[in-house]
Amino acid sequence: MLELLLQNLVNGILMGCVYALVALGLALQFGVMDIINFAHGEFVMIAMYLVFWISLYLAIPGSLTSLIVAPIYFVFGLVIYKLVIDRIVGTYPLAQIAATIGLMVLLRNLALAAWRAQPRGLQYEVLRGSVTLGPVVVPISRLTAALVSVGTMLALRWFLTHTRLGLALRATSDDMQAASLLGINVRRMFALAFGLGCAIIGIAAAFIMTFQQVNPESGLTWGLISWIIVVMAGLGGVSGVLLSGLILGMVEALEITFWDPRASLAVMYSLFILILWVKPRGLFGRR
Amino acid sequence: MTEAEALLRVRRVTKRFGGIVALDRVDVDVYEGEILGMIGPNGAGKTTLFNVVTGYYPPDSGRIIFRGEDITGRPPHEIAKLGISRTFQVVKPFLGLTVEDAVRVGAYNRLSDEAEVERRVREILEFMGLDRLRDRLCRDLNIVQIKQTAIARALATDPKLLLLDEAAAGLNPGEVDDLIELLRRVNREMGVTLWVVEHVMRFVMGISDRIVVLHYGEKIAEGPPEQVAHDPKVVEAYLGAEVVI
Amino acid sequence: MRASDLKPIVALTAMLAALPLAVRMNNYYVLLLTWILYYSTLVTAWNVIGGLAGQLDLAAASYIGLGAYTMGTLLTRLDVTPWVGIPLGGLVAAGFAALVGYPTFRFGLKEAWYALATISSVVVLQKLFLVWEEIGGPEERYLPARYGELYYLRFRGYAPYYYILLAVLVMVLLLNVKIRRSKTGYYLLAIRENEEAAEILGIDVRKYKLRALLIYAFVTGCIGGIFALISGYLHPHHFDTWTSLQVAILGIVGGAGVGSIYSLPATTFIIYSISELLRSTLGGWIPGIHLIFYGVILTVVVLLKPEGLSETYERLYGRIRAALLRRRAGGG
Repeated sequence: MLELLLQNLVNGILMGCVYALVALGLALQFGVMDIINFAHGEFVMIAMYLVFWISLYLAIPGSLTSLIVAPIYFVFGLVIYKLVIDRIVGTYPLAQIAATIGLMVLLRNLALAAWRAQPRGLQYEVLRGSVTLGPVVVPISRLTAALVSVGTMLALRWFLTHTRLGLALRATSDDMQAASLLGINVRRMFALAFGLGCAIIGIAAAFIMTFQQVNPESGLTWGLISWIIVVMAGLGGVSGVLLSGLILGMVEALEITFWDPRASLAVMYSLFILILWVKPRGLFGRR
Repeated sequence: MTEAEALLRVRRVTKRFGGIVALDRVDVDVYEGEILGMIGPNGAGKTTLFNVVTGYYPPDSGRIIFRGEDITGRPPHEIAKLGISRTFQVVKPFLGLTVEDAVRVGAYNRLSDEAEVERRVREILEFMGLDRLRDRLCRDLNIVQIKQTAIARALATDPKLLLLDEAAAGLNPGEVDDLIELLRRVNREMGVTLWVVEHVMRFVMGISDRIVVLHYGEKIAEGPPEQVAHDPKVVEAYLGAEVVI
Repeated sequence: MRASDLKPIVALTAMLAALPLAVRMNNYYVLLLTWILYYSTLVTAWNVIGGLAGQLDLAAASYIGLGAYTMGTLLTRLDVTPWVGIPLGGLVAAGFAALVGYPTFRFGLKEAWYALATISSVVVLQKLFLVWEEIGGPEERYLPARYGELYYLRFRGYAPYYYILLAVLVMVLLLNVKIRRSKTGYYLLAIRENEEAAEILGIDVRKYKLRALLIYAFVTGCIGGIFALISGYLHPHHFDTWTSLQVAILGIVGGAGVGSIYSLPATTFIIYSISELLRSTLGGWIPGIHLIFYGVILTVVVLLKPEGLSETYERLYGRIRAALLRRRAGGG
């Protein structure tokens, strides 16, 4: 039992890092634009398909496709921003939610129409095997995914704190009006945040595909996990997102150990409602 | 006047946002029947004080007493029931409602009998001169009419004390005079005590019985308009900003 | 309630009651009409929370599933008649709704959290009922095939259900009209327009949102019980996020809360018919074409006409009426 718990906790920590990376894009968009993208999970799902097809046709390992998918997704983010998001920033909250729900329905069903319901997994991947640490077996693929996740988060944090563009993004997030008085083009910052958020999804999707399959319904689960993390982190910055991801990963590990793996979403959801109940501004929020 | 007579007592109210002290041990008394003006440069904490009094933010410390009852930390809807209403600096209109329905929402605060509600709505619309706009959607009104509707729906709740946050902002001089006239009537004929925050000096000097001055979250002066206008501390606070008086 | 409020309801009822006869009780069309009525009742009920209170509720399928399982379990295990089971299902749904609504309706909390919490609830309940072997589980649980007995409310054809749903639709329409003209209705509209302003006019925002939610969840739970009777079995896939989304999409596109309540059944009729047409003609080549259609129409309407189509219908109706009157005048 103890060994199982240990194994699950290690898995949980590794998955927690990946969850955090998937949620990071959403958190960045929420922080800067104050908009929740309901189609976030569907963005993740489409990115996973992209990884699958690119890996298949170019015959390269899924992990390497991140180098291609991330820039494609950056552009994809800019396009979606221009087509949809730009028109709804600052309007009725209900219209904002409805527009991204429209995207969600559209993307999910387009995926269903194009690729049908059967799950797809990578045929070729270099990140195989595992390392054994005492009683715990750590798959190389998950370990790499977790390391890349933490690395990407550190890189984003460095970008936000050490570059002019990053500082401008943060200023926009703190106070849109003040930022615009300082001569920052707020709309451009929104587009950048949306594009960056999507590029991060691209990186995450590539590494998730090294150990998971994708189907058109996967989006909902990834969306749910990301929403919970964003609520938990509040406006707590990159480290808030990472900590929230880790908490979620470990909660899931405990749940799997002591109850039924199929019910893990239910436990995460209860956590979500509980946080809204007792700490509606998140565990790590500044405001 | 003694303290016991004050309709509203704000005692040592402090409010911080992160590291910024928005209100620093502020004391204000509002007496029954008066029109109290509140001025101060941008960021002085005027709107924050209104938000604390009407329950939108709880204060970090201090007490707010209304008609002898401690209302500190009560939610806005309970405060409305006790007899305080307000308008907002950013107007917050009910865009999709007609003027009549917006006023009706306020009237339900104290009345539940439909006939009485109807009568109250009609009274308020007539008093405010809004009867010919009653079926108009708020989204189709101009800014003066929107502000009038905001005052009308607040009056419909039958408040003892009405807080007006920059009611005169954006109005031309003629409209400011009309507003002063209207608010004097609200004060005298309806018996509503007024507490007004204002940037337009012509308005605040013209209407107030007394004025308090906030500066960086502290009260720096209090008294009749002429006295406050010549108070050296007030003049200093406003230096740099254009001299407004 | 005013007489002028009742007239359109009577007219609509008469028209809808005649429809199955107009298609000569053809099975395919009656089935189609039954589903249109089913969604019409759901969307009209949704108007209370989504239209009047302005809260984007996406938990319709949670309430439907809970209503279905409550009614169905009582019926199969304890032989409790659906006449009792259906309202009990409504109560269970309302109870669950309160659990989600109470924390998310806290004053000043972002609107989006409520929408997230509600759509997630559907996924979560589906998984929970899969795991909960005693009540749910992955196998279908069939309702007793006691056709034609009023005690069991089970029928072989769809026409009886069509008329049951018609009765429900009338009740939900009346409920909407009644709420709209009451203090609660005005309070909900104020909350939808601006929560902060509503509070200082004496409105306990959380209380009134919860009231709207409980009414909506109860009605939807009851409809869920009827849904189980129509489908004839219980399964966790009755907790279907797509149903939730569909209800909200029809509500938003129909302009819930803006203009006339009849816009909602009308929108359901039009969109459901088009989507069925798409499915039956192009569905073979493009699976899910009808679902894509919903996504497209929602996105387009929200971007171009965020207040929904109710005003468009009203203008259209006015024009048709005027044309008809002209013709009559010319002919006479």
